[in-house]
Amino acid sequence: MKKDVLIIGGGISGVQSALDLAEKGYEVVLVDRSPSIGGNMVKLDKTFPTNDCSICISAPKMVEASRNDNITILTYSEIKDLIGSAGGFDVKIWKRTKYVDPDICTGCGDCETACPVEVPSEFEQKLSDRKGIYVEFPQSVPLTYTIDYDNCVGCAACERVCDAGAINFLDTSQVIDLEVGSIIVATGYQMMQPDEWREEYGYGKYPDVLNAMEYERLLSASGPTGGKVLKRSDGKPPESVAWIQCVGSRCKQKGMPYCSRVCCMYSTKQASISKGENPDLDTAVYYMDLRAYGKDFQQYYDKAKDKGVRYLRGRPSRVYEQSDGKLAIEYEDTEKGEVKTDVVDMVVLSSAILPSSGNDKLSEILDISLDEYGFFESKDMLTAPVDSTRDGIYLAGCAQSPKDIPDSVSQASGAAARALMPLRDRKRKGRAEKKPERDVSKEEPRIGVFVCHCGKNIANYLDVEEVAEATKNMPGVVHVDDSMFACSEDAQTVIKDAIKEHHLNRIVVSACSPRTHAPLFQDTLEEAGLNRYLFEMSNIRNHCSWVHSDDPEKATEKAKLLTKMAVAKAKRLSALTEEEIDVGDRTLVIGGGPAGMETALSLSRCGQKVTLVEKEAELGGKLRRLNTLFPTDIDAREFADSMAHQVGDEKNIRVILSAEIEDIEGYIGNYTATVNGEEIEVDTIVLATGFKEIEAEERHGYGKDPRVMTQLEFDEALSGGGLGKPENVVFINCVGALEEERPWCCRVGCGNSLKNAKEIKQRYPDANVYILYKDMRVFGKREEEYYMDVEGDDGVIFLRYSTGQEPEVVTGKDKLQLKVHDNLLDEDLEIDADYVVLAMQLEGDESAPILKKMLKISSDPAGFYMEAHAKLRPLELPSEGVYLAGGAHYPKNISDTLAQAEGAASKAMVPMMRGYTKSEGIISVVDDELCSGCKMCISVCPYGAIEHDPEEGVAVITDVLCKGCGSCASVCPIGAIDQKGYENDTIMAMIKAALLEDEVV
Amino acid sequence: MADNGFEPKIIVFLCNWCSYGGGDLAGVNREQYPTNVLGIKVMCSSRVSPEHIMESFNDGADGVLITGCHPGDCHYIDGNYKTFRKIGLISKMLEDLGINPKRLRLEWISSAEGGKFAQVMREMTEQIRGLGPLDLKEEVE
Amino acid sequence: MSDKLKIGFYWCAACGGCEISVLDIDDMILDVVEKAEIVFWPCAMDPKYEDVEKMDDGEMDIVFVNGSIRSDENHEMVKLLRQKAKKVVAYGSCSSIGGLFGLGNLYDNDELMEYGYNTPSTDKDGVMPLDDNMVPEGDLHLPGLTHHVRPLDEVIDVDVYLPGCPPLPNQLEEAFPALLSGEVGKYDLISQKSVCDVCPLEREEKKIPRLYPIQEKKLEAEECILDQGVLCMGPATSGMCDGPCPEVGHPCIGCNGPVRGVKDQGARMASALGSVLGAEGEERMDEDEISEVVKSVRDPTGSFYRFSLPTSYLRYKRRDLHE
Repeated sequence: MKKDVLIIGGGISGVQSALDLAEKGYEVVLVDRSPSIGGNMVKLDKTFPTNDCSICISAPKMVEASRNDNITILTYSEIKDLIGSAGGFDVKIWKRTKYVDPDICTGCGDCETACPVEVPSEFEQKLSDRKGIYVEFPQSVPLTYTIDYDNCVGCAACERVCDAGAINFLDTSQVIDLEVGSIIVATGYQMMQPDEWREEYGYGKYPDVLNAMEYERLLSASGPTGGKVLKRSDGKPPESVAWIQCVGSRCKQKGMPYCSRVCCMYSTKQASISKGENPDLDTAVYYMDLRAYGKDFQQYYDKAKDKGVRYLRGRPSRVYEQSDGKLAIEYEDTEKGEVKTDVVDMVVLSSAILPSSGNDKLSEILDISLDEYGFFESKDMLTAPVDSTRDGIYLAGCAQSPKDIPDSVSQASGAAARALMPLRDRKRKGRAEKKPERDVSKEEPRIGVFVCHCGKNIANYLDVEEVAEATKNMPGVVHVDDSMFACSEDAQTVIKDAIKEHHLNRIVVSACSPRTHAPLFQDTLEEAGLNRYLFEMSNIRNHCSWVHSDDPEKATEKAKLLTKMAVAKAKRLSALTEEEIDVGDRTLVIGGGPAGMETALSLSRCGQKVTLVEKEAELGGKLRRLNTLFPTDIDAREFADSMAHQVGDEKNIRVILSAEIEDIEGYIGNYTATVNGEEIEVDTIVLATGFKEIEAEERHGYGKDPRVMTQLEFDEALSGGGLGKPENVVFINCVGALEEERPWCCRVGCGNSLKNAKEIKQRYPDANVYILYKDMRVFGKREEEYYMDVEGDDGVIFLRYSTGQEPEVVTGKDKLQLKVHDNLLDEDLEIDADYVVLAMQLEGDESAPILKKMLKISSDPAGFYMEAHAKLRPLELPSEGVYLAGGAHYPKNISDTLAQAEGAASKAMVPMMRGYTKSEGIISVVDDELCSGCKMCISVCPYGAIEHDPEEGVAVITDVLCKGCGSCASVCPIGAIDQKGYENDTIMAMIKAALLEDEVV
Repeated sequence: MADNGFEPKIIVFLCNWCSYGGGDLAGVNREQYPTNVLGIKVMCSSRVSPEHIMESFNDGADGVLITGCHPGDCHYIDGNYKTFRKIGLISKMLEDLGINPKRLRLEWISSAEGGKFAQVMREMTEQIRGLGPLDLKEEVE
Repeated sequence: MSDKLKIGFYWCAACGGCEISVLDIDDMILDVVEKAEIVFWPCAMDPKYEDVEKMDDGEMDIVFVNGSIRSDENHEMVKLLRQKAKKVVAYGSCSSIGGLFGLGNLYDNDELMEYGYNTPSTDKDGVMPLDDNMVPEGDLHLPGLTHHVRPLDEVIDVDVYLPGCPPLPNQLEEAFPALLSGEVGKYDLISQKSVCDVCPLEREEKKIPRLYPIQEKKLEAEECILDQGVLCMGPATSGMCDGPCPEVGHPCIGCNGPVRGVKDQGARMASALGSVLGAEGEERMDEDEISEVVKSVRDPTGSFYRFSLPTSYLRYKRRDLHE
């Protein structure tokens, strides 16, 4: 098999990388060792900070991957061997047999019912059992069954009940030879089992001590308890639950020194969801620093506190079971300096994110390095975070270090961009040719209805023949047939023949879910020369036979009605087209900081043309003001120079300095930007406008005394060298942050204070350096380690203060005087200082209010752009064609910025390398004759797809931007907008078909 | 369950991305619920117009249930918020016109909530059964 | 006999505004009487029931009926007029869409009577009108109330609709010549565009944070009234009036009813307003906060259906809550 890219690991990162590449026309093989792709994300109940249902948002991505012609999914498979080099790798993949033919298996589940073997379900964290033949979870991709060879007793009960004949005990595993140009490693993580390293917490010993993933499954509505949190000891709901943070993280002796980066937030999520469901539940989180560092994280944490989740600062020393069965937690409350024992019903351990179990072996096969913990090593942690130590092999997601979902998918897109480098000259798959279609617009509806038995899945619970019979007399219906499996290969031939023989022009299939099966039938329609939108499904299985299995008579009646409703809809269907518009290769990158430069470099190296505009007179952005970079201490200016130099070398990049953007008009493929009076035509836009410090005003004596300066000013002073010989330097973190007016966390302030404190200590070893902080939020790779060194070896003094007890600075005389209440010592302290450095709150760049108007996009109250989806689409804006990189999305360190910039480039290249973008078929249309120009629709369109035409006084929909939600059709106060495929008349007809006995559909 | 021999007719609008999937999962898990509910799939709950609700009542529905993604989950970013506000207004209008607003219900059901889907269908059927028939077509002099 | 058309005017449950509006056309009335002879106009001519009964079927060419159907008498008379007229025009919003009196459908008749005759604000405590009264001149019979307020077409077939409260001169200048020459379709006199189309104020492309009662808001003359947070029915109201209300800074109250082709004006407005209202920052609000925003729409039923409740889907108050 010869393909372009191999992706190892089918979690959310792997899937994202695969989609990014496949959409550009590259052929990808996605390998996962589990029976289904999905990884860890699909096991989560909800995701912070939006409380999105995790499986609900990841399943569509998985389905998208499985339906993409350019992606080959190999599950239950592992990498065996690799030779070659970038551009030409030869890989051997061991594909284990599932003993079930995926092309025949319909996923009906009869075999599962028949199987007598029960083993603990890995997916459910062994909290419940699965059968010997199983799918991991209902949304599995591929949705085919797997026989677990190790546990199969060979009774063949499954084979006997499989009507489709999908089970083959003689099938064998095989080795697949694969040639690819580049490889992405996305092997994810595993969660530490806290029984060895942290045995003092009683995991494995007490049934009500759980790890966080187990708790996730208890919360999940589709989990083993149906979403009810119940104690394992007695099956009753707990009255109190405690979360213990940093179990195995941030601890050299008993685990890993690094911060696992996600635990503070998922514990907050778990606690607040539990509390929300049962306000009487006592919830407490025992933590060291609450690292709510990401976009909207702090607000999420604040909300949890408001709900009544208690946060106690202290690392428990042990958990033990009392005689009454309750669990006692011993800890020191470091805010009060008291040793206490709390008693709870259930303890959840936020155990460390560990490298995936196969990393060792894989690193040998791929010949790439691991770091000391077992994560894959980046070529350069700061400047090339997604490159492995071997050319042609790239890293995505938690394979490199722990990270949350948006950081993972950003990096996955970044890895996809990097993986293009060795493939630049390869020919990509072009536009698929359109099959000729029969014009049915002038024909009367001739509807063909196919009713499916689904083996016994429908036929056992309702009378399929009766449903078929009742449908025959419906007006417009000219052909009715029933079939054993409507989705089978031969049934497609039957449908195609019927279309020809009876000159059918609308097809209804009464079977299972359109969500899983409609595309298959739609392909069949296309093959028979019919437009794929002339199709409607009624779901008489999932929504009828399976859920009404105790009442066949009523189920049959309902199936008739569902079919009648589908016929009513089918009658009104018309052919829809997915409009294509050309997208060229020109990008406007706004902002010449590291994010903008990296995006431009990545685009240019892949052959795209870039206009990079920067408002200042030189490239570099914030790098020009920083002294060194956290946590590598490299020189920021040198780094900026090096990047600017590379930008200068690229022929595809045109740089416009001192640029002012006067206007941007148009949409993807058709933007015109006016920059310094010049009109520039581009196809896509990347916003890399960064962030800025908020006005310091007179906080902590700023403005009254030059020795009080902001972090950036101090960085400038450090690189200028003119500090004198300071004896005392005080850093105050969170200035203007975590307050009611600006509740968010700036994400990078703690790290900046640390690296500057270290710099002072190195330059002036005798100086006293203080860092006044609220929570020390260093979470990235090597950041916690850096912090430990600064605290230990460098002897920087850390004082913790609370919001509302802000340090006071008295200016005047020769030294600044600083008063602070240390909430760990519970003491008022006075410190003399030569310099007070304010780590200012950060907010969006001042260009945001202007640009968001031009581009019809929105920003949050902090002035950061609102991405299309907080978890899965962090690099895109809702309007296609506009992308986000770096601080414009939210402040982030250089490593995350560069990975995200690569990702933004990858996203922008999707439509550009494909050469076109396509509208949805189901979109809204405006009737110009009716539209009265009230603009209601414009205000509600989440995609900025509707514009007002001032000349005609009507709304105009840009087809390619419309995603087809139909809310404008509902909002229009005079019915001037309708939604194709879901027209008002169609919906009304379905209502009538459902309710009125003699209504002629 | 109130058993007064009355079999209500209930129209359920299902959003394509969440609730319809919840219904699919209810099926996969063989969760049982009464046959009184008839689903109509729309791409987003925000597509449902008040007229669709009123037409349903007018044509003999005894109850109407709108289902969508949980707040924040909407596939179309914020469609469900629009639905929420619309339903708020419609409920008030129904009440003013002497129709029990409990006949109109809005539920957030994700595609992972098969159990909740079945539960809501059972509850809704029971609730409407308890309220009795709604005959908007009644003839008055 | 002249070859003039014979036309008639009749009012059912009405305020009289429509009757007077006929005269608003100034000089054009001369054109009308040149082409047509008014043979029946109780407001001006004092005819008796028998006079109508004596007419031949279809004797009148056009009868303009204004007012809604509220009493048995209205009901009987319009049936009779339908018989005597070739063409019936529903004149004004009351007969076309139920009109302002249609808000009576928010209550049942007992509630209305109680409110009208037995509340402290009314003249005598609890003295209800009797259906039959013996007076020296004879036995007087008051027509009974119909079950609910109805538009004309719920009782008889209507040939042409001419909504408006009342129809304005600009509408009539178009309507009369067209009607008298016979070239007008059933819905031709209802605009298919809304008041926004003719409104001189321009909406911004924005969401509306919340609504305010009009008395609590100082309105800017040049800004869209809805944008300023005051309910304006313009977006959901048929615009053949040319928007005189917003032109002088008053919100549209919806008197023309829905645009051509739309059945339910209130449902449409609820959909539009519900979608646009409070959307700013909604992702950070919880459901209670959003509900508060929705509550800023005071009396949605009365406001959205001020003129069109009897032709809405639900039409009148049901007794579902009492059971």
